[in-house]
Amino acid sequence: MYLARAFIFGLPLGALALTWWSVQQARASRSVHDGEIVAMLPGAPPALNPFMPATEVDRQIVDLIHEPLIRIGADGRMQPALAERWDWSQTVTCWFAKPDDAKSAAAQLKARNAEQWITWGLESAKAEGASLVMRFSKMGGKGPDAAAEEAAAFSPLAAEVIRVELNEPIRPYHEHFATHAAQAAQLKRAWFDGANAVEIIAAGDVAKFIEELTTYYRSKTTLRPRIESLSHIAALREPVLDIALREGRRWHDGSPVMAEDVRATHAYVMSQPWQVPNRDALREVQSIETVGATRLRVFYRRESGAVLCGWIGLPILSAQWLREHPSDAEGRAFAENTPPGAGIFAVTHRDLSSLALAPTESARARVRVKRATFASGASPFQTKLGFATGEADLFWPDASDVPALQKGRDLVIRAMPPRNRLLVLWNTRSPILENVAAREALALATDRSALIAQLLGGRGRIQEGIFQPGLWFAQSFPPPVFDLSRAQSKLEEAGWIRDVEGMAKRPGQRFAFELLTIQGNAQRQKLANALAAQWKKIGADVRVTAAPPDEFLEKRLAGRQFDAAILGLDFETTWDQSAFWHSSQTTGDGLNFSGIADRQIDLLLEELRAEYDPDRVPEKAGALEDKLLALQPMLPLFTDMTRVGVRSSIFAEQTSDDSTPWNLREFVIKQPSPADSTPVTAPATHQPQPQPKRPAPKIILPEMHVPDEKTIPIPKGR
Amino acid sequence: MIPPRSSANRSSNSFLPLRLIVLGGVLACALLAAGNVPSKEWADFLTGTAVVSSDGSTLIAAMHDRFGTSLLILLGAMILAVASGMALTLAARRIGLGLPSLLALVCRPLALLPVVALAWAAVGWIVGVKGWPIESLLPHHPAPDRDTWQLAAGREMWKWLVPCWVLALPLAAEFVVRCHECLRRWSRSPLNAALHARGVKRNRIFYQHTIALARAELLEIAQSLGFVSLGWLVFVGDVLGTPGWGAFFAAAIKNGDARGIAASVYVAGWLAAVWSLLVSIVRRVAVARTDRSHPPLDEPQPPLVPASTAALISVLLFSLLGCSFTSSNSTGAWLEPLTGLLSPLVRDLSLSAAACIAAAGSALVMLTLSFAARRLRLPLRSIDTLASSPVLVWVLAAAALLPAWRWLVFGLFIAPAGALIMRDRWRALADSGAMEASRAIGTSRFRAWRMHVMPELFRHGLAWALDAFATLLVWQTLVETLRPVAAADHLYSLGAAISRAKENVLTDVLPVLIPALIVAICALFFRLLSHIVRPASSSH
Repeated sequence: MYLARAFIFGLPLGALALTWWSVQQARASRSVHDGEIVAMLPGAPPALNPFMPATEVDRQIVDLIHEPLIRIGADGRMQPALAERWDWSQTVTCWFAKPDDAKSAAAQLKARNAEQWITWGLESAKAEGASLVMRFSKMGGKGPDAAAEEAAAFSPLAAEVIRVELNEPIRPYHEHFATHAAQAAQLKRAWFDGANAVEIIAAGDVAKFIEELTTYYRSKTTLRPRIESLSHIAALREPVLDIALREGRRWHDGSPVMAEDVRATHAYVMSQPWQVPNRDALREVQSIETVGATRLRVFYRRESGAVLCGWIGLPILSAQWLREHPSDAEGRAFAENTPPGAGIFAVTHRDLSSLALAPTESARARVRVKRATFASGASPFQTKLGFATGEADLFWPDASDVPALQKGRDLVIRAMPPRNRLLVLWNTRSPILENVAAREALALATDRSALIAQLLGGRGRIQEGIFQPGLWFAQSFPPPVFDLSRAQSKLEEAGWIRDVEGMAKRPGQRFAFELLTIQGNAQRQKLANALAAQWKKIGADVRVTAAPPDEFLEKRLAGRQFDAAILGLDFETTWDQSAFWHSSQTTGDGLNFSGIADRQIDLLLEELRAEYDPDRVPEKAGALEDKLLALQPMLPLFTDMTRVGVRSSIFAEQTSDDSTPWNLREFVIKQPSPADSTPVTAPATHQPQPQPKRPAPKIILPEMHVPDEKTIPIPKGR
Repeated sequence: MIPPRSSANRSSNSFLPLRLIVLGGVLACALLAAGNVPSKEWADFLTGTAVVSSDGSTLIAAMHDRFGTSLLILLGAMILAVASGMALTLAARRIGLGLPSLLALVCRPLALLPVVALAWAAVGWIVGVKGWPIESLLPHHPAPDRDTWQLAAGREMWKWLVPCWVLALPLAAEFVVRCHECLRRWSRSPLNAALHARGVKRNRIFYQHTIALARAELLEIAQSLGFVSLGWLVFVGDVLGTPGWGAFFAAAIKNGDARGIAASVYVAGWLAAVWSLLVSIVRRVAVARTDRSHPPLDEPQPPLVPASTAALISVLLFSLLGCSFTSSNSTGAWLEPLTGLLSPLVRDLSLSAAACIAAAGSALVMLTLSFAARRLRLPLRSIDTLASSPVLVWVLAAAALLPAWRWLVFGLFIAPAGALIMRDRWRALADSGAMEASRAIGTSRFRAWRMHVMPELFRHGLAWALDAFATLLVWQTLVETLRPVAAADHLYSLGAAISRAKENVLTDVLPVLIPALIVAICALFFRLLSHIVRPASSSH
């Protein structure tokens, strides 16, 4: 009887006691954070592709693991990362018929007194075979021209830039030609523009060279070669970027970071069509030479100070790892293997559902986090659960959950930096919109706050200007004005008067135009309709047209067959905006779809492009921005805004608010290191350069990553 | 939720584990056929080598861990439920003062509460209110240097105890109700009276004789509860993310994956077989052959409790109806959230009524078949097997593949229990003394049947139908919770209301519990009506 009683009453009581003990242990497991943070990622696990991060979160994780040469700091200025310093210089190369001529020219230069050298900025003049290479310590100046004039006394050979395009990869044919051609000695430089084109510099009897080149390629009829002479030059001027890497930086596997790693990374990136930020700047690299273990010299084929931006934020990988893992277009190598980085965090665990990072030995003193775990694939409910139980400290909530979450305890909602923007591009040559006042009226009649609230559920920031907000050269703008009465006045100023039905008209013409958007993108369609509804209030009759992606870009925008178009653009850290607004880009493959052609703007663009001194960029960028925006070639709408929920009790001293961009790196770093906090001003030279004859480099026209919007790929590479 | 007690549960247990495996296999093949899976793959399926999940796993690979996990949770929950139920019942009996009846009154609606709502409410309470973790939903992996064996053991124990307790709670409530009835009957046995007359202490009589006598029946209750809990395990596994058979089954239902559903049904047959085997072993060990006597007859229930519950339901429905017309009126404001649930409730009741009619028709057909088989001396055991099996599991599977005909599915699967009750009562009444006496005085066979069999049989049938209606209402709610529901969708079922409310369960548990309570109260109403209608066992 007693045994039965003990069993019947003892078992549930025992089970209750065990339950109580186990729940206390389970709670205790989670209660001690001790510098550990857990982030719950909303979607698939991060691919950790340093060059093609899928999301902003992915990019920020990569930023913890990998280190670029130069990064943008919290203050929006350039900061050295792997690079300790960098300097611009330039070389001028002349070719002669005989090596003796080159030696004589070099001797002639060396015979000049030291004062002359200093005036010219000449550092060295060396004969290398039949060529004379003059190295100048700064960009621009009269030195190169004066030195070239000195060398002209020895009859340097005329040189020519020749472009060859094929229908298939050109590299094997070019290498075969360079090895076997009778005139191969004339070939001085070759620069591959993508897989199917090469630009050659030939010096000497160029006519013969071109003849042999033409004969060589035309013998292969299937290649359909297109050979074109681009320009004649007397000497080749090449900007050179000297980069000194920090001593003692190591990869996570312990091996030292070398200059060769930078060269290998550049080659790796350029071997694939990855749309890394500022890819066009990287394409301008003629060659990279390593000088010792930690110095490298980057030769550029064209003068532009903005090409420095190509190295901003570009993660550098180990050359050995890159050799062992050949690149592929989809970046599978990164999904299957994790390359060692040089960042402040190293990957300690990675599987399909979680990624764990720990600070490196050298960074441990600088960071407040001892371990960061990113759990992926969690449902929104699991995420909320994780936060409620103390399991998770960071998460990326749905827009619909944000209002409720903001009321919660121990939680602050922060917004990550924008990645892309949405704008309305005006066709300034459209008969309806050619008047600036009319475009200004439409801008005044656009209520962007309402659009963000209505279409993005509040997940967007109003954007003004042409540059990425927050950068040192991007201006701050006051909130845009939404004023229907002023808009009405502006429209009347442009000659459009509203009739009794409220429609704006002028004699024989209605204020009716087409707003072009892309087909298959519901979010854009909604935005177009919302804009049409807003503009209708001032009498505009807007017809929304959705064009298929191919037609949208290649036919409608390129052919300027539109009045207004909604465009999405990724932000890039560069001050060179020539591709979009220079008058030379209004034809052919140019991207100046708005058709803006203003000589003053052209000059400002050229000046800005050729600016090598980052400290002088804001002034010129401001001047350009003011001038350009006054012409209203576009209507900036808003940027994306990814929100993150952060447990406030862990890092209470974080005081930024929802409007300040928040990023993971600043979150984990305890205090800025001296290196991180010192903005660097690179020595610069300044010389405005003429706009290159060739069309501007190819650029990306990505889709706007509007939340919950299905992305429709647009063919890239215009 | 438990099929009404019948003699079949006691008498037809021979080779039950084997029959359950065969039944699971047959039903799985039927589901594969419904899912257009070629018949040549069925053999692979039954041997466990067929691919059943999207990641290419075979049935054995996908289920061998899940089977063990689910069996452990099932056993743990049953032990907790039976022990807690017994402890509560015995404690209440010891205290007296009407506490056993009060306890049974509280436990009745708890046992009818849709288990999915209970599981979500548990999540809401554990996480939202207490801030405790649930390991199965969100496992925690601390850094090795910070982990200790106590923490690891605690986390592991908590991972298993949460689903066990959540499942045990309604099982314990049902067990308390059944245990209370069982012990009350056995305590009125002649043996008890004799021992009491001989001056044996009340406690001694109870623990040494009453419980010993009731052991066989309690085990029978436990066995049927185990079958019920298999169905509930699907929802508990789904809600708590337990990596067992239940979560796999729920995922297959949500995805409409015929192979996954069939695999789950097949495995459910094995799980039920193992459970019935364990119960039969315990029965063989714990119950002496001499104890296997029939329990004393039922006594008529006092109609006060059922009547008051019925009155409560009427008031509630009346209030809902009133509020739907006067929702703008401030006097009905407190009930306003409930008015939105009226339309789903009416729809669920209608569907349950349709299912109940289908069940009655099916039961009559099965009854006829059963008698025909008896006359032809054919061993027709499938109805018995079906009645003693995890019917909710079969219902969930069939309803997932035939969503438009789920009312018919409900009816077909609940019918065997009704057919067995009717058959047993029919046989008992036909062999009763009253019939023998009627025949002896020359009353015609039809007249005797009409006078002595039909009235009582009709009441039994009606009682079963009302009880089945209650069960069907709960099933209907449970099935609906496995269907996706968007926030903008029209609320068509109380199950959908539970599904919609689960998203915010961490901040507000009530929206999950209110529809569940409405279902439970309505089901209780019909179950109590069934008690009122059911004739007390007479001297026939």
